Order: sequence, then C-alpha cells, then structure tokens
Amino acid sequence: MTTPATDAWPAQRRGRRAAMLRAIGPLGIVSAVVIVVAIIAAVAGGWFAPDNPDLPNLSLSFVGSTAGHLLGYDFEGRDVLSRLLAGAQSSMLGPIAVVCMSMAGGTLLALVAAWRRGITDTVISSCLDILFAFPGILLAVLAAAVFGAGLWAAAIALSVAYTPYVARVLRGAALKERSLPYVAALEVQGASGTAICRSHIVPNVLPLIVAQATTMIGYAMVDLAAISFLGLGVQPPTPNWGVMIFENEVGIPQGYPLPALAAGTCIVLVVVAFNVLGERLFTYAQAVRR
Amino acid sequence: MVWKRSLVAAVTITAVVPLAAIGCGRSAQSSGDASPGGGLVSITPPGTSPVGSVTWAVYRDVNSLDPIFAFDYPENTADSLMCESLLRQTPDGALVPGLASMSQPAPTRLVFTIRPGVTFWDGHPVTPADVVYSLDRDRDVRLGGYYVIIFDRVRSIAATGARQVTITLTQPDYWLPEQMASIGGIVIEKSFAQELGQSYGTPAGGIMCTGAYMLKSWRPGAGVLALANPHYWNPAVHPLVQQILIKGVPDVATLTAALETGAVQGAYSYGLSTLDQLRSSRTVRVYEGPGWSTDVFVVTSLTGVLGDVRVRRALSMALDRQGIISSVYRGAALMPRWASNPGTFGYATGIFDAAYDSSPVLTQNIPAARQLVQAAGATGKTLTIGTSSELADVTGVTGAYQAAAEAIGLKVKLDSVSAQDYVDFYLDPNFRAAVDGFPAVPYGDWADPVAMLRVFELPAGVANLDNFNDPALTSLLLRERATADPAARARLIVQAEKLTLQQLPMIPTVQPVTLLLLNKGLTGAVASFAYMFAPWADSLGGT
Amino acid sequence: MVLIRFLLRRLVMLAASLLIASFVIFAALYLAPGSPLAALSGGRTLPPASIRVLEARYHLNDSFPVQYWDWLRGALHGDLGVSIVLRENVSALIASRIWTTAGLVLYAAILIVLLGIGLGIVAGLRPGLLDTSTLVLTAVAAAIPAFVAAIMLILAFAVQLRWFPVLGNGTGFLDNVRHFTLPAVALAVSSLAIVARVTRAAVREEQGRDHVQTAISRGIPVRQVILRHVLRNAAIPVTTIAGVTVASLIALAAVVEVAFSLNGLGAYLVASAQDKDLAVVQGISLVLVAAFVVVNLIVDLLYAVLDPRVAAGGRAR
Repeated sequence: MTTPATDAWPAQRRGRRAAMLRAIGPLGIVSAVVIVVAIIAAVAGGWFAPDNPDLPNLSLSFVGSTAGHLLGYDFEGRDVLSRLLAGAQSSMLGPIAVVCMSMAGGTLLALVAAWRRGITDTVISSCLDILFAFPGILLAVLAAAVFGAGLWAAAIALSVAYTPYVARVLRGAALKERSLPYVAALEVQGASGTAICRSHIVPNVLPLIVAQATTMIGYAMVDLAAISFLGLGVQPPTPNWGVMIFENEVGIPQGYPLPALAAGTCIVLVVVAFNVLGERLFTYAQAVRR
Repeated sequence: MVWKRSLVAAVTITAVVPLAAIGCGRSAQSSGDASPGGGLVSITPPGTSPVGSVTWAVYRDVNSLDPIFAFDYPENTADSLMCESLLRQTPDGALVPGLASMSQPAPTRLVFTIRPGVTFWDGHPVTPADVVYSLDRDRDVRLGGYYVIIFDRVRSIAATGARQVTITLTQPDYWLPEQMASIGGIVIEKSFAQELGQSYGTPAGGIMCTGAYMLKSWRPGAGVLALANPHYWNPAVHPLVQQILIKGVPDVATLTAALETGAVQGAYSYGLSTLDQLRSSRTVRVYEGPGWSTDVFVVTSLTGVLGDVRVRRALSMALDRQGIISSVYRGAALMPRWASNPGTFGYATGIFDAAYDSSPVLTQNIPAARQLVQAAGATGKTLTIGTSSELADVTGVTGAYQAAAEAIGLKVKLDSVSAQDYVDFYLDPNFRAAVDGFPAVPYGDWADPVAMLRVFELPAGVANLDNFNDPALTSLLLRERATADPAARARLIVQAEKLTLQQLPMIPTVQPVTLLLLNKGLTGAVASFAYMFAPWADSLGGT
Repeated sequence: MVLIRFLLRRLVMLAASLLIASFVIFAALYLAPGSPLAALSGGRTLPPASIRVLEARYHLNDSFPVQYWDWLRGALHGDLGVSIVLRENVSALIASRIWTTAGLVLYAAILIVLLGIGLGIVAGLRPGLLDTSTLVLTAVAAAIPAFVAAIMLILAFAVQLRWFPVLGNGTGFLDNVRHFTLPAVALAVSSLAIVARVTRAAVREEQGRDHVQTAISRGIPVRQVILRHVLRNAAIPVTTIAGVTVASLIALAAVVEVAFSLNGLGAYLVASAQDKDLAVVQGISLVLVAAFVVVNLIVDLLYAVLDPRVAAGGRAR
C-alpha cells in the first residue's frame, strides 16, 4: 500500500532522493549539468558574450575561426559564440514556456476528467480527441498568420498542440491513482475532491509529470526550431539557435558550415540532455509507482 | 564500464563534427569583390547543337500564364519565352518590329502592320481581330488586368486593313510603342481565349501564342513545360532545345545545389548570396548583363523625418553603397550616378552615355551628411524602416541604411514583416503608415530611364506612395512622353535625372546587374533584363 | 456490436473535427492582417483598379459569416472553392499534390517501422556493444530536427557524392523512389530514433518479467518465449509510439518538403497560409486533419487485434 507522499518521514525522503540519483545514473547527472549550463546561459548569456551579438558587419561575413573569435562569424559578420550565448534565452524560453503552458492545461484537464469521471470525462476526452487531430505545424501556421510570426505565436500554438498528449498520459495515471483504496478512504472521511487531488494524487503522479515535462522540452525545442525554419517562429535578427540554422544555411553548400553547425550542435546537445534525463526520470517514476 | 563508453562516444560524436567545421570559413581578406568592371554582355554566343531538355528555375512557381496578369519575374519569364508582342525589344533595349512593324502617319496615330506569315502555334494566322482583341483585353477594367493604365491616352483601337491595326490617341504618347514591345503588347488568339473564358491562362486552360516555344502542359508545383515549336513562323530562328521546364525553386541553397549538380541548367537572378560559389563552380557559368532595375529606398511618408529634402540627401550621402555591392550583391551591382540603371539606355545612347559619364558617382560622405541633418534640425529624430528579415537582400540593404542613419545622428526603428507581407508596404496604407520607407527593387517595363522614374514621380504614379509632387519634374516627364525625337527625349530625361537626384523622391541605392546562371554545356540565352519582355531562348542550345 | 459502435463514434468525431477545424482556420485567416492580393503582385505594386476588381471577384470585402457560409455550402457539395493565386479549383490543386505527401509519409513510415522497431528489438535482445552504440546513436538522432538532417543529407549525398538528386519529384515510380529517398530519411531520422528507444525499453522490460524468466527456466525454447511473450506484450507500447510518430509525420512532412522543394501538400499549406489563399488552406487542412484521424483509427484497431483486453473493453486508453 502506497504511503501518501506528504506523510513520509524525513529519513524516507532522503532515501527517496538517493534512490532517484541512483536511478538517473551518471549520464543523467551529466545531462542535468548540461541543462543547468544552458539555463544559466539563457538567463545571463548576453552578459558573458565576448562581442556584440547584434551588430552586422558585412565585410566579415562567414569568416572562419580566428583568435578571439573561436567559432568565427555568421552570415552577417556577427561573432557566432556571442550569438549562441545571446540566443540561449529565446531558444530555451520558448520550449520551457510551451511545456509550462501545456503541462498546466493538460494536468488540469486530466485531473478534472479523472476525478469526475462520467459525463465530464467523456466530454473532456472528446474535446481532447478533436484537439489531437490538429497538427502542431498547422496551428503554428495559423497563429503566425493571425498574430504575426514570432516566439509567442509559435509557443501558444505548440502548447495547444501538446496539451492533449499531456492530458492523455496524466489522465491514465490519475485514473489509476484515483482507484486506489486510500482515496476512497479519504473520501469517506469527508475530504473534498480538490483537497485530495492537491495533497495526494498530484504528489503521487508528480514524478511522472516531471519526467514527461523534461522529455517534452526536448520535443518542443525541435518543433520550435522547425517552425523557425519555416519562417513562422522567432524572427531574425533576434538571436535564436533555430533561426541561426535557418539564416546561415546558405553557408553550408558554399563551404562555410560553422555557424549553422554550431547552432545545430547546441540544439542537439541540449535536446539530448533533456531526453536522457527525462527518460531516466520516467523509469524512476514508474518504479516508484509500482 | 558501459556508461563510460557511451559517455565518451556521445561526447566524441557531438564534438568532432563541429570541431571539424571550425577549420572551414572564409578568411577575412577575401570578399565578393569580383566586380563586372564594365564587361556586361547582353546576349551569350548562340548555341550550336541540339539539347533534349532544359530545366529553368524561377524564384517561385508561376501563378498565371495570362499576359494581362504577368507582372512578376516568374510569369514574365514564362510569357516572354512563349509569347510575342507587336514590337520587340532587343537584348540591348532597342526597339525593332516584332509580330508587326509600326509607322506613325500622325503624332496621334500609330499604325501596326502585321508581318506576313505570322501564325499561332495551332497554325492559324495572326489577324487584326486577334490584335484588337488582345489589346482590348489588356485595357478592360472588368478583367482586372495589370496593364490597363498604359492605354490611358488611347481613344480607339481598330482593325483598319487586311493586316493593319490603328491606334488613335487623344494626345501624343511615345511610351505606348515601347509598351507594345513589352508584356502589354503580347498578342493572343481571340477564338482560343473566348472559348476558354475565365480559365484562360490557368493550369486548366492554357494559352495560345506565337512564339518559338509552345506550351505543352502546366502542372502547378511541377512547373510549366514548353516544347520547341516545329512550325514557328520566323524562318531565321531554329530552336535547338526540345523542351524547357520552368520550375519554381524558392530556396537559394536548393537552387545553388541544383545548379551545381545540373538538376537545374539555367536561371536568371540578381542579388544572389551564393554567387561566389557559383562563380567558382565547375558546372555553372555566371554571365553579368545590363540590368534595368534599381535598388532603391522607397519613401512612404513626406510628413515624417524624411519630409525635409536635406535629410533625404544626407541619408543618401551617408550610405555605404560599396559595402552593399560587395556583401549583398557579391560584386554584381554598379555604383549609381543616376536613379535609373544605365542598362536602360535603349536609344540615343550617345547622349545618355555622355551625360551619365559626366555625372558624379554617389559616393559616401558622412561628415557632409551629418552637417545637412544638423542644418535640417533632424538630429535625434527617429527613422522607421520597413523590412523583412526573411528576405536576405532586403535585410542587408536595411542594415546599411540603419548604419547610415545612425552615423548621421538619427535613431532607427525597424518594422519587420514576413516575406509574403513585404509587398503590403506597397499595397496597404495601414502597413505604410507605420514606416518612413522601405527598400525595394523596382523596374520599368521597357528600356528607357523614364520607365522607372514615372512611377515614383508622377502624381498618379503607382509607386508614388508619399504624394510626391514636383511640378518641374512632372512637366519634364510629361513633355518627354509627348516628344517624338529620341535625342530630344534623351535630353529631357537627362534633366529629369539630375532633378531627381536633387529632390530624391526615392533614394537610389545601387544598380543591380542581371545575372544569368547557365550550365556550361549551354549557351545562347539573352543575358540582359530584356529577357523579361522578349523571347530569351531563341538561340539557346548546346555548346 | 462493439466494433460498429466504435467506428460510428470515430466517424462522428471526424465530422466534428472537420467542422471545428474549418471554422477555426477560416476565422484565423480572416483575422490575419494583410491581403491575399499581395501574393499576386510580386515585388511591385498593383494598379488600384485591378485591386478593386479582384476584391469584388473573390468577395474579400464580405463579412465573416457570409464568407464562411459561402465556403461551407460549397464544401458540402464537394466544391472546395478556387485558389486566389492560381485561379484553379482547390480540389484539383490538392489532387495533384497529395500523392507526393502520401508517398513521402509512407516511405518514411516504412523506414521507421522496419528500421526503428527492428533496431530496437535487436538492441533489446542483445546487450553489449550493439546495444550501447544504438543507445548513443538514437539519443543523438532523436535530437536532430528534420530540416537539419535534410541540409546535411543534401550536402553529403546529393552535392558531394551525387548519389541522389537535389530536388523535385522525378517521373515514373523508380525515379520517384530515388527522389524521395533523402527526404524520407530526413523525415524519418528523429522518429526512427524515438521508436527504436521505446522498442528497446519495452523489449527489455518484457524480458525481465517473471513469467518470461520462469518460462525460460522451464526449458521452453528461447525463440518461442521471445516471439510469444516478449514481443507480443511489447507490441502495445511500441504500437503506441509508432502510431503517434507516423501520425505526426503528416504535419512534419511540410518542413522536409520545403527543404527539398518537393511538390507536396505540406509545403503548399505553409505557402498558401502565408499568401492568405483562404480556400487552399481550408482544403489542405481538412485533408490533413482527416488523414491524422484515420491513422489514429488504424492504430486503435491494431490495438484491438494485439490486446484482447482492449477489444473487450472498448477504448484503448
């Protein structure tokens, strides 16, 4: 019988943390470090940038690696390293915003559907099914048409597209949790639905939520980069890793692949980190729930 | 241990690839400075051997083959390949007979005599009825065609003989014969068009023209397929290429790769960012020919910071045009002396060349520009530039104007829209209201400097977005339109150009040359901007 | 019967999805700033008289309910309207492009199912160097966006090695396959990696189950155990992830079509939305939504076949 999380003894909580660290493994810790570095860059990257990331200097276009400018210059003659650091903010902010919004919406819908069951569940599930049929790219195209291309239009579109996936996973887990005996016991004792959800169900599915969120940030990053490639997301000259690939793509066939590859590598590294960490957390979450 | 191996492997893979790339990059010294140096060619040597099929790229898919809607590069390229006009512009811009020859018995009467033996692809002869029908269709407002306005001095168009059509004018108009050598003068078959009605010029309908290449099929997305016309009416022309496919390739990288691999064998372009790679390619040869377009800064508001002519002159003086030529155009553009491109000197070349060569080049002079801004009291004011970050050449030019404005003490704000919405700066007053101006590359429809000047400077000019009105300029242009003698017209235009540089209704940036990118196994294509308005593949063939 | 009720319910959902989708899309494009006529004018300005004629012809100045009802009425009779840019019937325009997208998605789906699942099974069953390298490669591949893969593939295989063509559809079936190979690989790369990882995890998990260990220790041939127990049970999560990824290909194909200049629905959708060519966007979106729902339906039917508990219980959630 699972003990509700909030009643765990401090020693058991420490034991749980140690178990989590063991489950994540060294590779998971390395991923976490990469993610932390990326977040630091997102928050303060602009300050660390050695050179002005925004000033174009066309005579330096695509010049390669030199002393002091290890990653060379991009298609407009801006220092690539500075642009990567400055670009971390919009590159990380977008996916994190997408995940937060879709997690919030999806979790809420899932909990309501799982708790109420019956008609409410059927209605919510049907609405989610309809939402499922909207491909994310289509929503991004429409959002860009209405609001103008940009980070927020793309982020909102993606959150709407991701919400049904989140809701589906969490609804299943919440349903399972809800059917456990301790919940019925609490209900009999007079606890309200919201209270039970808040204090018991949510904490118990929390590992699943965190794992799902971590993996989804990776997907959101790739999707947002694709949307920027189509010209619908973050607009140049705002620095952004996905946009940097799009802008510097012309350099690749000409023999100047460095700017596009550097930006692509940043994306791949961070996404791999999120995916690996998310997968490990997912395994841990499933083990905990068993 | 397992994790160590995978960690090492992961790090290695993700590090090796970009590290290998660090070695690649341009050295700071080399730059796209291979300037044409005056060696512009209007047409390449004619082809000598037959070729099976050629794929020709345009910047987007053709959206109509109907000449009355041909207004942009892809449609012009397709129509000029397959259709012919009453008169014709040579690659040098001179006016010669096309399907007809023209005489002018009176200043307000133009008589076109159809050449004997001229036939459509289906073998039917071109009759005056076809000519009258084509021109009437052009000027029918209800059809919504884009060439209605060129007939604004026409009183009547009628068939006046077995092979004769007379246009009667309300006042002398020496622009109309030139327009009859352009898209507005294309002759289509009346019975064919009437049968098809609304679907004429659409993928379902097709067209019927007279050219050396005839339409075989048009599948949207796949391209426009034209076959060599075995019964072409002109015995002097023998098309060597069996079929030409005109296909839209929007992405510059894809176009470059396609040219390199030979998947695409030819394209016209300007301001191509991958020009350096193509210049050193083993598969492609780059030809530079006279251009008729000018890269300009279109002024949309004379009530803002650009309202004072001194500010406009200062902005023009502070501009680093050489930087734009090397970075945006990779050397394939000319420093301007006038607003109009010298490639448009299609007549009276002696007068034009002399006047042009004696005009100063618009070089950069920041200190003088700054003084002008101070004298105008505009220091610290904000200049709002309309731009699109999705269009590489627009972005480059915008950056140069931004640098120029900031160097003379103005503040700059950028209003960036999507590539599709960029033309709304022309079309939509709401878009325009937000900006002081935007970069554009306009061109006229025939080889005459006035072709571009008129759209900006005449009060009713379609590109006159800021209600620019200079009576002296207007009078010069209207007099030029009514003047018969080419030398006199040229002298009027010289005056107009000089006045334009003083008044600056728009700011000339640079003069792009026409780029012809041709597979090394081909030759014979027209290399000047005339390709937009007259057949360009009549001598195209293998080397 | 359960199956009939299930199918009927799905059909109703499909119709509801299409109706809601059409309304949302129409509203979005109606609200969007800018004019569809911009697409017709290229880089120069249209004469004002022409603008007026075209606006009247395409009812661009009518109110939203009127325009929507006009379109809906036509659509219910099978007439999806006319493209403003090409002046051609939307149905014809879609029909000429649908096989490109369908072929591309099918090709990529085959790659994902065969290679992804195959790789996952092999890696799951044989721990060791193969397993480790699969893990690493798939971790990196899963993070590569489709357009990055496209650029690299073009550079390596089309430009440098000249094994594959750079753009276009080709003519004839074999030529089509050749033209679609690089795009299909670009499209499949990241999904393939995800499917391989999930398959490997599922196979591993099933292998570790008690009843499997018991069966092996009882002497039942390993191959039989693997086929009947491990793979059969792993089929459910594998089908889930494969179904989800293949369904997502339908939308992701747009990015690859743009990168390879393929004449498909995805690229056309993006271009038409940016051109505000309303009828075309409506038509293509409805096709994509319907395709998405149908693929999910097939996946759910597969569930019913694979897992008897689901068939009896109704929904596979």
